[in-house]
Amino acid sequence: MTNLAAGAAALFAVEGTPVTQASPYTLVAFAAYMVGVFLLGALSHQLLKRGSFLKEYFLGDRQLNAWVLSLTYVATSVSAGSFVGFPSYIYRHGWVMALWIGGYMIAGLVSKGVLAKRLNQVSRLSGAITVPDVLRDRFQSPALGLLGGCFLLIFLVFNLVGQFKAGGLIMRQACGGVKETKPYQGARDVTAQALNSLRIGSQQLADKEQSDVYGPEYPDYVLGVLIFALTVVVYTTYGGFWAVTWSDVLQGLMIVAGAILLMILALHQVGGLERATARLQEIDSRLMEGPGPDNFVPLGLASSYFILWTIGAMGQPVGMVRLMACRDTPTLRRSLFMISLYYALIYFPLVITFICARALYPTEYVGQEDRIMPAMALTLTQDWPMLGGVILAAPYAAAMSAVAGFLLLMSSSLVRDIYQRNWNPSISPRAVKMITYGTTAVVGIIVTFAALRPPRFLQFLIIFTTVGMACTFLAPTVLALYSPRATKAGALAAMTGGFVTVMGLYILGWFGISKQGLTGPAKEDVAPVYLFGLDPLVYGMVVSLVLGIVVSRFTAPPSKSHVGRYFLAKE
Amino acid sequence: MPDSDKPRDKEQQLLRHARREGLLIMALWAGCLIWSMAVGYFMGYRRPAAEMSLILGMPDWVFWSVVLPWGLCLTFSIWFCFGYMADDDLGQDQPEGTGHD
Repeated sequence: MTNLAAGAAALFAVEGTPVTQASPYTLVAFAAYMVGVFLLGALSHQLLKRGSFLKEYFLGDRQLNAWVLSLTYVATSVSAGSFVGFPSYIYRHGWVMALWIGGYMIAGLVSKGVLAKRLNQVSRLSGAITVPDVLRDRFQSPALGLLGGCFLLIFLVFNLVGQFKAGGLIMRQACGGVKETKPYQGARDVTAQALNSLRIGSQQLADKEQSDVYGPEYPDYVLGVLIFALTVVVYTTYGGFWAVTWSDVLQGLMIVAGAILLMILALHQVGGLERATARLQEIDSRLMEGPGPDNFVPLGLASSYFILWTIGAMGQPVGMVRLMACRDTPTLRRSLFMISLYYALIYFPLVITFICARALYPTEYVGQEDRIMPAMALTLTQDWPMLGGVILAAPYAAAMSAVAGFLLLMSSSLVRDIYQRNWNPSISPRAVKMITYGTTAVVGIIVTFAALRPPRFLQFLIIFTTVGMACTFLAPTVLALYSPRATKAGALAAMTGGFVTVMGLYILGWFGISKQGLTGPAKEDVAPVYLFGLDPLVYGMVVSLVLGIVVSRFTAPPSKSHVGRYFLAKE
Repeated sequence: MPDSDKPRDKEQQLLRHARREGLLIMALWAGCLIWSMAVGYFMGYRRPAAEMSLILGMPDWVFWSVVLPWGLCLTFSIWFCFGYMADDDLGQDQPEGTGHD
């Protein structure tokens, strides 16, 4: 152990100006990565010609092996929020963010180990290919499938807008090295003219929204969003589940490599973690302690986030779909361990890296924290710009893989849960294929337009949708898998109760109800109402589970023959 | 599945295994939550930074409340995945949407 006061005596002045412009070589590395993703998309398209189109397009025909399963699970769950939003929080609030993210110590086991076997088995028994599909079949309720599909769409739209914002910001940074070239200037001028004619983006808007996105670099951001959208929508639409999972493997490796490389470079730059921590104490001693500056992580919220990253992750349909796609239980066991390992290799290195970032740049990014991740990637690799491209591709990969997974989930909800199973069960395979391609592309285009006016705080948006989906889907799914007594009415009550509770607490917060005199995140415009200091997740989960159990108890039990199919051994 | 393994109520073996494994994971989860929050609160929220020492370059409370249990959880996951979790037959894939609406 080293006494901090003694460490502080060896304080130093960290020199260095942040690099905000990428070298053209950075873009070359970036482009190589994108080419790899497109090749995987093209290869995946070939697989769609075998077997059932829908099962192949949305579930990969349940053939995922341990490596693919774990990397696709990690790549999908580690989103832009983890790589852009989370670093900005560490930079701003210091060491307390280690406790904030601490739930990931057991997130792999909880999010996957509790549901995986049963969910996979039940989905095979019913032939289900989406989560609302599983609930619909298990509870014999078309209404449940339809409602689940609609709730899923609502949350996914919000989430995708946040991911697109991150993609646009990173691409803007990556294009820094070619900003002065004619093709870039030409594309930028066209974008700026279009924005002017549409009256989108202005200095007044920048002042009103207090966001640097709308400033002079707004056309660059919009160009970044458009490039991001084009790449991700094209390869997801064309290649389906296999394109998403294979590119997830590439992206998962990029994410792990990027997080570790960045940590090593940051530690080298700052001269070791001890020096970084001592520097933080000099900048602001609250960066060392809980709840952090601005009362950011009071204990109630720390516990809420521990629950969110674990139990909340268990309730994410995008993760559940991957569990349904697993080949067998040895695959499940191996991937369970690998996911736990990946989380450890990603999240704690990120904490260390951005503690170092604050030590290196005590004030430079305060107020524009979402820029710290790309700035660190470029600054630390200015002598090796290709490496900078690889590191910068990591958060981009995180955003791409999350978006691809969510896009697929949205189109599966629209095509399968809402259209095919309610209005046109006898639709031809060719028509299904065309509608699926069209839906994936149209959803991508709509979200692109929404991302032109992005929210200020990326991480709030990601958390809102994570909480919403967990409170809507987890309790009905657990009841479906483990309780033979659970009924259709109970599942509907659980789903609706969780959704209404979360939406209610967020909407009250957006209208500024009960925010007088609050400090920390609770006072933000976008924050929900934190009743008794706890996140809406806790209330949503409790309401959903209690309603599911109580309503099931007081309604007629489901037929023995139907339940027996899912719970009893064959004679 | 061998007949001798079937319980009297003929509950599926996979279901029993999944429930047992799930409960163990949830027990560990509860232990981690309580440990992290309690240690984090008493060592990190109730002491000023000046009184904190460093372990591996980080404030001591971060080490005890997050890093140590994280390492133990990883060790547990090795045992759980390779020594405890049972292999079960996941069954055959049915045609799409045969769940009896």
